[in-house]
Amino acid sequence: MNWLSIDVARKSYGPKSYDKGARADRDGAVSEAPTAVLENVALSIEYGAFVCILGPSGCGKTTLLNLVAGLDKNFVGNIALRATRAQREARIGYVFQSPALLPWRTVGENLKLVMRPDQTGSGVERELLSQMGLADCYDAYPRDLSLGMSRRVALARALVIEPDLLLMDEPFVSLDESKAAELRQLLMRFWKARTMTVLFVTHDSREAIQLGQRIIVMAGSPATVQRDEMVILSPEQREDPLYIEALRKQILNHTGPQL
Amino acid sequence: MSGRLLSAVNFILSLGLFLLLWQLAAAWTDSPALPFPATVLETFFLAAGTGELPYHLAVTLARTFVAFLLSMIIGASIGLVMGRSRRVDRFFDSWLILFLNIPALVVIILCYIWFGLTEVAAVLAVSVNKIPNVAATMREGARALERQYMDLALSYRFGAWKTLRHIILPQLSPFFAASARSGLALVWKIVLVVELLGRSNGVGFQLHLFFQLFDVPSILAYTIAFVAVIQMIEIFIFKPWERHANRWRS
Repeated sequence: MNWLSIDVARKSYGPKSYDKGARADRDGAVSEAPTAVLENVALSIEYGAFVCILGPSGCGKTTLLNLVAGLDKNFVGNIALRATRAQREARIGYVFQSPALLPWRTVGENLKLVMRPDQTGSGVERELLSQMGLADCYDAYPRDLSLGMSRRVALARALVIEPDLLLMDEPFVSLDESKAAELRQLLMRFWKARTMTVLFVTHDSREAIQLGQRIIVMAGSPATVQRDEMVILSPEQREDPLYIEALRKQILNHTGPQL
Repeated sequence: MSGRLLSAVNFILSLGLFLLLWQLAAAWTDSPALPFPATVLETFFLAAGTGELPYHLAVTLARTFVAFLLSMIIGASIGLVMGRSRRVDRFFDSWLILFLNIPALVVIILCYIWFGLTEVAAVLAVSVNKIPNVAATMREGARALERQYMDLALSYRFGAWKTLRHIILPQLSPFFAASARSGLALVWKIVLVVELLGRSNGVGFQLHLFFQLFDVPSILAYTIAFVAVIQMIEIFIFKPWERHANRWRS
């Protein structure tokens, strides 16, 4: 169907750019030539899919998400997002690597801020927060939340706009495993209940296998697509370490041990 | 509660000591150049009663207010642009340093020479003195803007106005408060000089008059009245606003 087609011929950061990619230069030296981060990344993704983008830290996965989100239009190539069946422009929710909650607004206000005009006053944000076990946090300021709760609120903020495309950039990183597992289950529940496409960036191959229907492995400098695998596992198998390890070996065989 | 009581007692004791020292010094010098506190108080009530002091005070406050507002708006805009664009910053940085270092008196004299002894020249002179300070502070604020919140605004399609109001201004509010406070303190002092040099009303003009008449009680009475009003503004407007703006901090 290729609902979302990504075709990045080349994305590079200039030497004097303010962008964070420029600061992440491998050797830390200020190079005079622009540094290529992505090259020939061509993907087509159908509506409603759950796709994991797996790759080592700093390989350009976040850059790719930013291109899809339209945060960065400075690249060679084309990214096309079709309209939805309801013939309106697709809505994009983005869960950043840091929760990025506005500290000067309460949890409820943080959600209200991103909501569409036609959603105001409907109370969807309150309902969603209580579905996610955050009912008590509605009037709390982000400074009072634990990291796990902040990440949960960040997910709620992305879901409250009823996105057609949900971009997630290592959203469960630096949580302990049980908290991360809880959040993964929560995410799966929402993905199954709604029709939305998820692009999930991670450097954790086990997480990718647990979640994704399809895993795209990126590596190299500039990064290219190394592998593109469908994951055909039942929900029970995804919980089973044996299956995960087996699939992991199969994927990592070609890409090296760092994942 | 007891903390507040304690600080009130503390304030009264400290003020009492100050008045006592003043009284002693006045008694010791025994000269019209240093009047007793009671004389100053009497002069104050006399000047207040004739309506002269309130009139001049109001004129000065109006000038302070307009000049303050102008310098905050213009200074903040310049600071924002310089903080956000490295190219603009590099180009105009030396200008900013130049303006930060021009003595207030020079600006005032030049404004009066170029624009005449007018109200516009007076307010302009005060603003030009203050704008570089505001710009320098706000530039720091604009540089400290967090990229993650800008990304949020961009990816959730906030418009320019929504981004300014909900993403940029809240991050700038501590810098805004800092420059507003130091701004008020600087502006009212410069307003007095401006009035002394080229206006025919206002507290500064009156002080000039009293200086020529050697009328020290009036000088002190006007000064105390003005300082009191400025302190009121600080306590009843700035502090509550700052508290409100910072309520989300722990």
